Amino acid sequence: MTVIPLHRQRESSSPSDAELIDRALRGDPTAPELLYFRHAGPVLSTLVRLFGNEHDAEDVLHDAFVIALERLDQLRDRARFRSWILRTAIRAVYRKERRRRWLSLFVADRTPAIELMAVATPEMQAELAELFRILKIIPVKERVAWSLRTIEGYSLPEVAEACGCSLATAKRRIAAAHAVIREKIEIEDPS
Amino acid sequence: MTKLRLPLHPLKSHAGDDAVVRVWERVERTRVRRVRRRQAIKILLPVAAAVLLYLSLDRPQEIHREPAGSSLHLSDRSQVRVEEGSRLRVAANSAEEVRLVLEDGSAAFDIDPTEGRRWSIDCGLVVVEVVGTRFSLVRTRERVEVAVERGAVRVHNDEIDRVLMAGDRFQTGEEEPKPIAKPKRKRRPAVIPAPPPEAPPPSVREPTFDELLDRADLARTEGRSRDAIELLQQAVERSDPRAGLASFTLGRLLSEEGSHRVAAAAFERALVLGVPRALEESANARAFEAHDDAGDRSLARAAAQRYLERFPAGRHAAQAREVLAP
Repeated sequence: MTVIPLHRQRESSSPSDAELIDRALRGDPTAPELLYFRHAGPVLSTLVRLFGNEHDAEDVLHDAFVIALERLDQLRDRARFRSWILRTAIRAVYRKERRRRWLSLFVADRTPAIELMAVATPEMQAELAELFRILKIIPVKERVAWSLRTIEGYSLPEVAEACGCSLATAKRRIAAAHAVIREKIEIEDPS
Repeated sequence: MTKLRLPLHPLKSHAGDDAVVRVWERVERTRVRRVRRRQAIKILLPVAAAVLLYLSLDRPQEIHREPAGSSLHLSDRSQVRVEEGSRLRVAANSAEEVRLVLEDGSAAFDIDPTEGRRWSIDCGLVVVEVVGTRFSLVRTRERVEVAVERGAVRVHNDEIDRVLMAGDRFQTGEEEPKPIAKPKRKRRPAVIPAPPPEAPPPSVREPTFDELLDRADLARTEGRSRDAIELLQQAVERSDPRAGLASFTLGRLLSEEGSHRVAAAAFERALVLGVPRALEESANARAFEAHDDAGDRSLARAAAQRYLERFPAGRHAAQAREVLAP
């Protein structure tokens, strides 16, 4: 007999995020797992594209879900779990980058190599490698805003919400990052 | 140069199901670890707090120049009020003893004697030992002034050793304590007062021990020694842990009145009832002095002998030996 993992089981009623959060807060041990497997994939994909490697992305996903599942009671609008977990993940990205910058004063940077090659042509792979090389030197907040807008295709309000800043600040950050990148790579205007 | 087409999200990443499952296993482990850590903290925190509290008991604390004065409220209901610009340091604070150092300025003390802790305040020129009392201290570079409002304190240094009672004021350089100035009586108004309302029935409630002591202190401050003696005699009969202190005070007053034999009896009774440690030597010394003054030689010798046995190097040892001399 094949045992279907919990997160792969299709619940007949397919509970909403709000219902799962309620269940988790009432002590249902399956609810956090269902919540995680509903959202972890897309968030991890975004994080991999943000970092350019899976190792850092997994670390951040881990930190983000540990924090989010501990603080479920603080989520006001339970229907908006996806944007909340993304915002939590972005804050975890900031923390990780701050830690890395501080550590780089003492030890050599051990950022894993770019793994985001996928289906692109050899020319495009070269461009992507160059893009992530440049992204590494851009301040993290500008880089994240630019990546969410240009790589992920988020709308400006979505970028602002995920970054926890105003729309104007999000625009400024994206423009600042784009100015640096455009000097090196021919790229479409994100706006 | 190839132009990157945006957005790039259709590019496949390596975020496969395996990675998602791997991260979930890590998340689960971390959550379990955190729950255990929180449970451990819940257990350990009160223990750590208790240890810190215990360690802090003997740690010197300092009260610096507070802009508008400050008050210390201790768990035993004692209070210390440090006046503006004064400096008071806690040198020791344990279940048995509280030792303070008044480095500069003035402070008022209201000490609860029932807790049995020994209180002393080092003022440089003299050390003041507290015997359950309300009093104030002023220290400047040249002098120390002690004013006792209630109870008694022992003031001593290498040259002097004095017990001050309620109403006494002592200043370094003075030979004898001076009574605090009597409060001025209010003048009666010139107008004829309206007849008082019908007098309430006299209270049948007996005064409490504290009320008796307060009234005795007030009577003594106002120079009504006989009233003070009567009130203290009532207090001594009460079953209160401070009855010994009341008896000691009574002995002092009777000695001042010249009633040496009765005073000696009061000091002896104080020793039987128990006096605070700071007063033990003084009570023993006053007992043999009072017997001696009363002309009861044998009693004086016995009391002097007892004093020397307990305080062979005491301040009154030479005087005790004189009493014992043939």
